[in-house]
Amino acid sequence: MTTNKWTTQHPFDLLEAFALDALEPEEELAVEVHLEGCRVCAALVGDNQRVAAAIADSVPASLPSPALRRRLMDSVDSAGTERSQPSVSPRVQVSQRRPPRSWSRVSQALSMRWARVLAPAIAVLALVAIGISTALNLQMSDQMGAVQSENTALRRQLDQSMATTTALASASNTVSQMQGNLQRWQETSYALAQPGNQTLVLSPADPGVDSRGVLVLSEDGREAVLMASDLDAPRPDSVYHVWLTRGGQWYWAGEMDVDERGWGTMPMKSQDSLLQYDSVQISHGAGAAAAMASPAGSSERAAAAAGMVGDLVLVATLP
Amino acid sequence: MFKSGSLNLSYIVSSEELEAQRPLLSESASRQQTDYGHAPGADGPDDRELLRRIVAQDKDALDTLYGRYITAVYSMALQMLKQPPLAEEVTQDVFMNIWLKAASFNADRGQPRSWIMSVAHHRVIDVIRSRRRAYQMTDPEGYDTLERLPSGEATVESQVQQNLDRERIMRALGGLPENQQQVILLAYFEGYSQSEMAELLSEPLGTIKTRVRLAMQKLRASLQEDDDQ
Repeated sequence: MTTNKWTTQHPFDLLEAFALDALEPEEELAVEVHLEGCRVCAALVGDNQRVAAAIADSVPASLPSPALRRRLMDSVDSAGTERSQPSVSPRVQVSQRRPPRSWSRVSQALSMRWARVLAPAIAVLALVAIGISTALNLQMSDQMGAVQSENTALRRQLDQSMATTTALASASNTVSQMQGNLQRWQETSYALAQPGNQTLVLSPADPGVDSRGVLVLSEDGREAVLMASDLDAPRPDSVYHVWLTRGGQWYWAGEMDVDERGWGTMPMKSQDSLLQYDSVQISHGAGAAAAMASPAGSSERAAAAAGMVGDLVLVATLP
Repeated sequence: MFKSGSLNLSYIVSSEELEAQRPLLSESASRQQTDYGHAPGADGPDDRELLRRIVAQDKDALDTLYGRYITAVYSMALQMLKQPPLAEEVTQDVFMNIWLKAASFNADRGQPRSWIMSVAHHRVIDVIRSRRRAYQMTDPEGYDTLERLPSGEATVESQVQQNLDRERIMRALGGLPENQQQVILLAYFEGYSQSEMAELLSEPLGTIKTRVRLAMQKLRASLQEDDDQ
């Protein structure tokens, strides 16, 4: 697929994926260019982006720290007047493409009669033009060699820059991960230190395994910390799910992070008291998205229909 | 309901809980933003007016828009990135982009809400893809072992509105065949392109493209049906 193709054809079969940001970069660019001159496709993209925005509604509501608002306003102040001119899209800046130049009017303007009269002169001019062109080609060839050398050097520099960027991105992720860990341990420590906490022991569903768990529950049951040890390290395609049961029904409470040593911790906060439930359970199986996608009739799918995914590992009855 | 950073479509909100919230939901729906964002007549200026004022460098307009969309943008960023500090950083980038590029909003391309969420999703996808590339180069397993943290509490009002919107989209997603749900989730929340999904699922690219198109068309029809009712 090329960019040019979509200047004359509607890319109808790409518009849904475009709204999901699921196109390859060259396809995305081609659609962007097309949208500049096509109100039909622009309206269809608007419809699809509305669907995509609705998909975002499927996630639980969360709010960032109040400090973010202040940081944003500070950034706006420091950005000053570095504002962009109106651009074609929020995604990429693409220059306006001009339609291909048409030579038909030029050819029509030359009548056969004038062509016959001017033919000898045109032939001489053509010979002169060929000579000049040859000389220019030789000169251009030298310049092309120089440009190619420069291009090679620039590509080398670009590769080095990419490697540096990748390393910086990796370092930034590590810092973010450490900040996340620190925040989690602060929350956990604070919850554990509260007076009036109750402690419940989670027993293994299979008595033959060593896995154990502890649930530290606040007095009103609205906060808890779930900890488990000696679990099997999660596989790349599996996670540990935490469930609450009430009246024979399972309620998914989240995924518990378990490290390669089999230690897992999950702070829990709720507007409902945990004491309203019958039990807390931990299962090990496919992630929520994977469970949805598993073939109908498989054991994990059947468990999901009943409310639980994976194999039951630990369980505790709530007071 | 407990907060979690992971995607969960099996436990949404139980029917009993929804029934209990119904009066509050109706009240909330009448005064809260609809799927189309704040329309004229709602409290305060509508979203288009806010974007016009942002183009004219009105910081108060940005602040108002931030208040309207912070829950939607941050919730999506946190869901996809899993890390609160990173999600906050990206959310800040999104609103900064809106501040700098509000003039590029094109009414022919839909409603302000769709545009804002598209800007946000595009930015999050950029981070996910660059992070995936970085992890592939350094630690192939690292991407799957990132922190998944519980989030902070949202306001009751925004939670109620979110529950209303969630019920609607969950019902629409639940009506899709499993293989169509799968491509929507992989594309929207995991940032996979159609070619990457074809490789991941060992399916022909044409099959994946067809699934994406059909899924989006069904979702669009389902949401439209809701609007008409």
